[in-house]
Amino acid sequence: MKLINGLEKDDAPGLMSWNKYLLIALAALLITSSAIIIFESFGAHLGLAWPELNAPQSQLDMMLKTGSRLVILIMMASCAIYAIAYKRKITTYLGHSNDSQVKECTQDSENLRTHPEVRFKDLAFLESISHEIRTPLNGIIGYAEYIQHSSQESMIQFPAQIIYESSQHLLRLIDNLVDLTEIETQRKKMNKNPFSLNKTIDEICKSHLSRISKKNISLRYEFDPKCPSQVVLDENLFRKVLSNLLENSVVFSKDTGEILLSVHYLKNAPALYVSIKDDGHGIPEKMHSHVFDKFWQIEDFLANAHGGSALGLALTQKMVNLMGGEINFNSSENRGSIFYFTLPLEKESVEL
Amino acid sequence: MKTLLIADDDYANRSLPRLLLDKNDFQIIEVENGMQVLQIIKHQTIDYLLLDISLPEISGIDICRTIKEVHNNHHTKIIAYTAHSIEWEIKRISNAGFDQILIKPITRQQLINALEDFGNKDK
Repeated sequence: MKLINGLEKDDAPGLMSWNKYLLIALAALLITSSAIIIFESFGAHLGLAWPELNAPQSQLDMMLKTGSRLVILIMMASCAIYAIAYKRKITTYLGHSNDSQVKECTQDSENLRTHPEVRFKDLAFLESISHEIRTPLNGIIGYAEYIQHSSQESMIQFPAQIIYESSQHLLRLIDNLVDLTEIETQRKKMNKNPFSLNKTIDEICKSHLSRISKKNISLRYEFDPKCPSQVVLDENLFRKVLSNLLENSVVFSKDTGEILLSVHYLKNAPALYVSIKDDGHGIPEKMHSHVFDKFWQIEDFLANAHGGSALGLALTQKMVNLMGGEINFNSSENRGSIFYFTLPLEKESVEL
Repeated sequence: MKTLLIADDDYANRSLPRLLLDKNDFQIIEVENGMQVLQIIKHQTIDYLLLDISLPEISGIDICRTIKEVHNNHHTKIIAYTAHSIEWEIKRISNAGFDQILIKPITRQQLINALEDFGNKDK
């Protein structure tokens, strides 16, 4: 009874009903059949034998004996196969499961949950959610923009602008979620094209000017003259990475401060080295290990910082890794942070 | 004045381009399903067609194919007006022969750029 006592019904729903009886029956068969074989092989030597064994052996007797041995062997083999097939379940049933097996089980289910094919269903689901959200957002953003442009009154313009910006925020969140899942399901394909590094970075900086101007922050940009003027990278990914990091540094900045964006060229690799430094709130040291986690926000710990999509850094890291690069940071509380990443460049692209 | 036909089953999305565009630049017609698009385009010269993909009855992709391949109409510039954003959907749309793709939510500038692109090419 002890064998079954350790079982909870929820442990293996559906397997409880008939499998345990089959198991017990097979175990009983195994024990009896091995007893018969042992008795037959060794019993004779000790003079202990069933009466039939000592009787004159006819052709029929021999055949029956061989036949019964064959049947026993087949039973034992099937028993062994059954036991192997249900090894994990048996150990759970018999209460022998130890920590490592439990861990193995959990690991298996975790692997299954994060398996690209399974996550692909998440992606397809997310795609339809994204479609459903974008449809009304088009109305919200479009009409807010129309109100903003058609009215001269600031009492109307201002709320319309808030609606516009909040909707853009929502859009970024859903986009980030789709991007992240796309990378995790290995569906994201790189789209490498040559583009002008200086021009692209300039455009990204300009698109952040309105955010920057809301605080008293200056943005400084250092460009290593040794950098190739054209690089071959996925421009879209590059833009997203740099935008996310810039947005973050603006969010983390205090009311006044400076953001320094510098781009360097590592000739030997060859690779691009980009760093974004701010002198803002910084990240407390105990939080450093969670910075690239999904849905982690410093706001939980710093009430005065706001914004950010909570997926930004997790996504940024995934995108940098997808491009073959590395991202890291240094930060100390109240003194600011520096995020830096490298992106390997192709040899041919450097010569362009 | 150029004619612009807008097909979208959602009222807000259908009426938006009229607000965002200058009234004097386009003659705008709005319809809410694919059958209406095919009827209008048979009898009237349409310069631009702003076409939603997830339309009832006939999808935007089938409408685009019909216009390009069956009607053999290459005058009408067809712009996909869709809320799909993921790569495989975009690929499916561009394979159907659309001249441009606008992903919702759109901004005024994006709409104007998409329409102007053809203007510059025509010249």
